[in-house]
Amino acid sequence: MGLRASQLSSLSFTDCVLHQSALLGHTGKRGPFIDAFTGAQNAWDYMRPALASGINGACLGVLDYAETQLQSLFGAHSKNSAREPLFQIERYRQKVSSARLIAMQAASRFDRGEKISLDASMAKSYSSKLAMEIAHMLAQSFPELVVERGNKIEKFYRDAKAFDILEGTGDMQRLMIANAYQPSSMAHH
Amino acid sequence: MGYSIPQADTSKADLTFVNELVSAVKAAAARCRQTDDSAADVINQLELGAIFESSALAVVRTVLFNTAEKFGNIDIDRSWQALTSAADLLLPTASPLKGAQLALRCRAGNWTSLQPIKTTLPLFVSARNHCWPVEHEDYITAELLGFPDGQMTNLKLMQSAQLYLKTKVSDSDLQCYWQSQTLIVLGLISGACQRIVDEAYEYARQRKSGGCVIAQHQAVALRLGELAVEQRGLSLFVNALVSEMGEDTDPDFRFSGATAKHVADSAFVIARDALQTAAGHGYVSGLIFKPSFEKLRTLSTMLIMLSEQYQGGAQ
Repeated sequence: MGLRASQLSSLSFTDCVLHQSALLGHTGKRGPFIDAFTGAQNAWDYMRPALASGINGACLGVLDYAETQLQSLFGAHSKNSAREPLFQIERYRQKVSSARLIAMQAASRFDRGEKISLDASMAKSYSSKLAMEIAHMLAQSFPELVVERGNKIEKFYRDAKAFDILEGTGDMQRLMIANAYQPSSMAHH
Repeated sequence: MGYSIPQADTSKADLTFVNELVSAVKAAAARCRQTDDSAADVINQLELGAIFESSALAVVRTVLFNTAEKFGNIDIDRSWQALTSAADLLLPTASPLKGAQLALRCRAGNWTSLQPIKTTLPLFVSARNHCWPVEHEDYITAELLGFPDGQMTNLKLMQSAQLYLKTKVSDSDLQCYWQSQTLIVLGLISGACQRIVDEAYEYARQRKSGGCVIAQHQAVALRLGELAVEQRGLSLFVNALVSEMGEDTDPDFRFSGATAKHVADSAFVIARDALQTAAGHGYVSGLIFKPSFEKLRTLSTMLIMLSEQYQGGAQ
């Protein structure tokens, strides 16, 4: 996949013997520095809004790039054929605005010391799904660019799929949201 | 229709309006709780006009939107019936647009009647660049929106609804008019979407199938997760739109055809997936899924047509 600047690699431990005291969670207690899952969840709460913001920035960048590409193609295409892609680009910009608001709300709540597992999952899942939709739309609007190695649209297409997987897949986020969501309508109070 | 409107309980409504309006809104909410039959009339008579005249325009916009959102969460039909008459609260007292309703463009040359209109409020109809007030029991081409029978709320807005008036009005008055209608529609969409998402969750956490509640089935849980996220995005976006309206400082939240389409798309996804969660039960009378699905479609269509009128461009 893309994300070549991201230093990701796998670690494997074979025949690695550790004393019991070096194991996280060995006391049966829960806490950020006590058991691994809680620690991981805390880290995800911290990172997911930031990751979502990074994804949102990437989306905006590729939409801007696509618009400049479209405008440079005006000579080769009639105004009518450019109208639909331009409208789609503008439409997805609005969606990115929603994504940015969700991420900023999650970050703001984190800064206030609130528990934001639900908000963080919402931010990441919305942004990563949006990135895939944008990648697909651009692939349809710029077929010659999406297959050109090194082109921004081609690279975004590969990155977008990775966005949907890293830091918790979109499906896991949605399952987590479904479990944690609480209705707030007045009709239910 | 056999559909019974759920009991609207505003006893715990969070009417967090600005301080100067709190007492007036509390009084209105108290009257809303009196009887269900009079709820629409009570909403109609919010009696906030005197206070609005001395309030900053931004306050009026906020109150109009928040009121629509709160009551849209409870009952779209009655909120629509009541609040459209409150739309002119943004207008100057002497404006000839006071009491006017959105005009319709009729199908040119086709005067087959579908529904006689009974109204006591002025309604202006345009067809082929002519306009005239619709008289009592006049016939025009129109279709039922699906709202309960009422004064003009059962008329379908045709393509490119435009307001033609015999009396010339200022551009600023027209902008105020469109803006107030937009605020109401945005509020109703936001409140109704929140409600339908919550209803989907309630249903999925009670309805059992295959030995467990359907919320525990992965396919349903994934959809519920999507619903919550989509609704969060819609709510935040709409609130940002409303706060920006009239201020014009943030281009990302300027009301336009694209922003209207984004809101409409989100509302459609929410309504569709919530109804899908209820499956066959979504069409059972007494549940809100199918009626809300249709009403959100109508509200979304109105929003897109309003964007064609609103300063900021049409698609």
